[in-house]
Amino acid sequence: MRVRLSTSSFSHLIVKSAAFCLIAFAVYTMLVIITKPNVTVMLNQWQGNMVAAQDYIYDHNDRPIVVVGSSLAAKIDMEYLEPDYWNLAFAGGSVSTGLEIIARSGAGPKIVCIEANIFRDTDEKMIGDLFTPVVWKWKKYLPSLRLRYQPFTVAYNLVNRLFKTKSRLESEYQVDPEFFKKMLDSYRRDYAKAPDEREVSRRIGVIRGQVEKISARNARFIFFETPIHPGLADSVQSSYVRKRLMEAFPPGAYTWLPRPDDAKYRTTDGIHLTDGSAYEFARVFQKTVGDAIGKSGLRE
Amino acid sequence: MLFNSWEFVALVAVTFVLYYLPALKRWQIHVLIASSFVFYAYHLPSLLALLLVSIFINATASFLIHNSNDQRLKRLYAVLGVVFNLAILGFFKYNKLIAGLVVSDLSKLDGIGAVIIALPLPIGVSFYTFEGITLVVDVFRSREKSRSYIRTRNYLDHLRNTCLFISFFPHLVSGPILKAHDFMPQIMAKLLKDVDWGRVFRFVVLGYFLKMVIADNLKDQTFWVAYPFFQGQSSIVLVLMIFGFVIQIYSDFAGYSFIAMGIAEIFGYKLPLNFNCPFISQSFTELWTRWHISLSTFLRDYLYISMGGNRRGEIRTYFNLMMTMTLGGLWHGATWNFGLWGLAHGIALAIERPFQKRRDPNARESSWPVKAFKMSFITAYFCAAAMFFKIPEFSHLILYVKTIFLNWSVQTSKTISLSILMFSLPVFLYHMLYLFNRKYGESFYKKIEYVLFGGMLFLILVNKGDAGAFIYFQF
Repeated sequence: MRVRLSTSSFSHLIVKSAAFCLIAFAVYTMLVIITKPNVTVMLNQWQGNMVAAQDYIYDHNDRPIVVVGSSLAAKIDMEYLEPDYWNLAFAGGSVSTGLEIIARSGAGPKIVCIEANIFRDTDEKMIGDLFTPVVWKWKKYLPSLRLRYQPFTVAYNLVNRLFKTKSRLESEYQVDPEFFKKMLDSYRRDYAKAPDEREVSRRIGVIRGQVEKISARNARFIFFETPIHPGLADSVQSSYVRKRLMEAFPPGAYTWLPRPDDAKYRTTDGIHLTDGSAYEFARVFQKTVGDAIGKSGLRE
Repeated sequence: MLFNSWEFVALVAVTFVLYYLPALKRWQIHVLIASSFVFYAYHLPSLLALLLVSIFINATASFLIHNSNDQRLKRLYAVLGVVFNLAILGFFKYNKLIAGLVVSDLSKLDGIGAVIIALPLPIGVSFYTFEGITLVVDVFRSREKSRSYIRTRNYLDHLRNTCLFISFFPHLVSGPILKAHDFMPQIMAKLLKDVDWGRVFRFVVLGYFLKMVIADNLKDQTFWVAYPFFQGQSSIVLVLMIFGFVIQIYSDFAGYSFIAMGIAEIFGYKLPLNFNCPFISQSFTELWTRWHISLSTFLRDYLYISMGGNRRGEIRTYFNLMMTMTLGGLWHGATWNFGLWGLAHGIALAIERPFQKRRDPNARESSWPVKAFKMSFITAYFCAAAMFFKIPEFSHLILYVKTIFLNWSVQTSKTISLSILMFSLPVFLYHMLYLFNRKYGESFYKKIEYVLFGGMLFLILVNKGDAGAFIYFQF
């Protein structure tokens, strides 16, 4: 069937617009590759999470030590970690999300540090967005498709550099006492209940499968807890999560770091470390990991 | 099924091929109906039952009106048809609101009452019940059968046409609210050669740009309006977030409407414009000819005029205006904050009315600073009223307003404030371009049009936000 398209309707507009788009894309991609814009500030939490994941997948999946976990472990900023580390813990994320990223990207870290504070499901939407069939591999060669180099984000960072700000450690977040109390009370109520046993078993099953897959690439696993408010550290939920994880990944077969001294650290809401405390914990954490690697003879 | 999903693209592609296949030419309307049912039932097939019942009742009522010669019977069928549509809406959407008037603590309800208030809101019910009303009322109001919107004596043909009118998938779940007198006369065989691909392209690209680049990015900044997160933000950010929310909801809803218009054009149907640069409005009256046009015209034609409009004296006119807008607000949601949002706009229209009437039509046009002031004022009022939309809990709303006055010394988040300004800029430029074209003509615009659409395509490719559901799906 020969389709005759009216020139007034299927106009030059479509062809010229598509051509302009392709040229703009090619030019922008070349600019990104050549100039490598310095983008350090993300515009929102979702973008921050996705950028950390994409940076790992495309540029840094050779890092020997990877951290996975939730927003608690995400407070250990990459700035505070040595170059051997990469943090795949995300605000709103989970251990299984980080493990899934490692598994699907084909990476082979030597050590995977698993946060043992919180259980959550894999963020299937994030995994789907990161590993869109076929397209995800193109992003290695077309960095303009990655979230780090979105034009609005690049523009924001250019403008942002005109206004110097204090570093995060210098401008320590001033915790609002009323807000803190409200959040802590809320967490006390949540943490007073054990999570649903069937859900916990299911999630542990998922993590076990992921650990087995990554173990086949000669990775070793270290479990750790981030400090939280002392009133929550031995709550029903915290104790339950700790117990179930230790049963599934016993200290004999896996390395468990000693629990941190929760009283030494400050949180903004009972469970998330302040920037200053996150920095302090990062120092202790890296030393303890280093000791664990040395003791268990994992270092080659 | 979301417009920004691969399943939707596949549905449109398959429907397009089948629709224009010569062998299926006689079955074009049936193809569209089948696709519409697949679209609607994709995630929850059980919802289709209510849609089918609605179509059947509206088709039958309108057919009976059309074929009756007894004016009293016609009126009876019309009243029954309207009452049925409103009953569906009341039952599914306002059950909690109505129950709350009778029972103080809904958690104590048991038996059939508990089951009813636990029923989920069927997607699109606010839109298709209103369309059923337009069909029944339009047929009732058409005085001569030859000018009626029912072009067939065959009930099954009319049922088929009504099925398409109500369930046509581009507009089914979030409008525009179609009027029978606009859509029914378009139902006929369509030819591929008549498709205006330029229009399709413009609507679809603009729609996806507004949704994927503007709305989806802004939502991650306006998220912080929620309690208790707003309490730590500066006054400037609190104000900007409300402004950003209005731009977000405009981009989300207008984006959806433009996509719907573009997709409908592919199949030969023209849907009415739903948003026409609302932020250049210089009066509240004008605002409601530019914002959610299909709803405001519905309210005008089927509610305000039915209540007497402006024909029953000034006091009654003001009452009709405020009641119409309050009910229009409640259409959005079954909680009092939506009613208050509508009332705020009703009051604005009522206050403005005497000044509109006194305007001398021969007076010179205002100067640009005056026009700019009026546009800014109308937009600012619209943003202020939008707080009822975004902050449903009244105590949180009061706290939000209080916090705006208290948090001047709190450090302003550059990320939130600059992001909102950056992502609002394209909407601002779009409105300025509209004004420019209106004053100087479109010759300049035609020269750069491909740059604008090419740029939008580029940004859809490299700057889309985290995909979220369309806001108006919840209504």
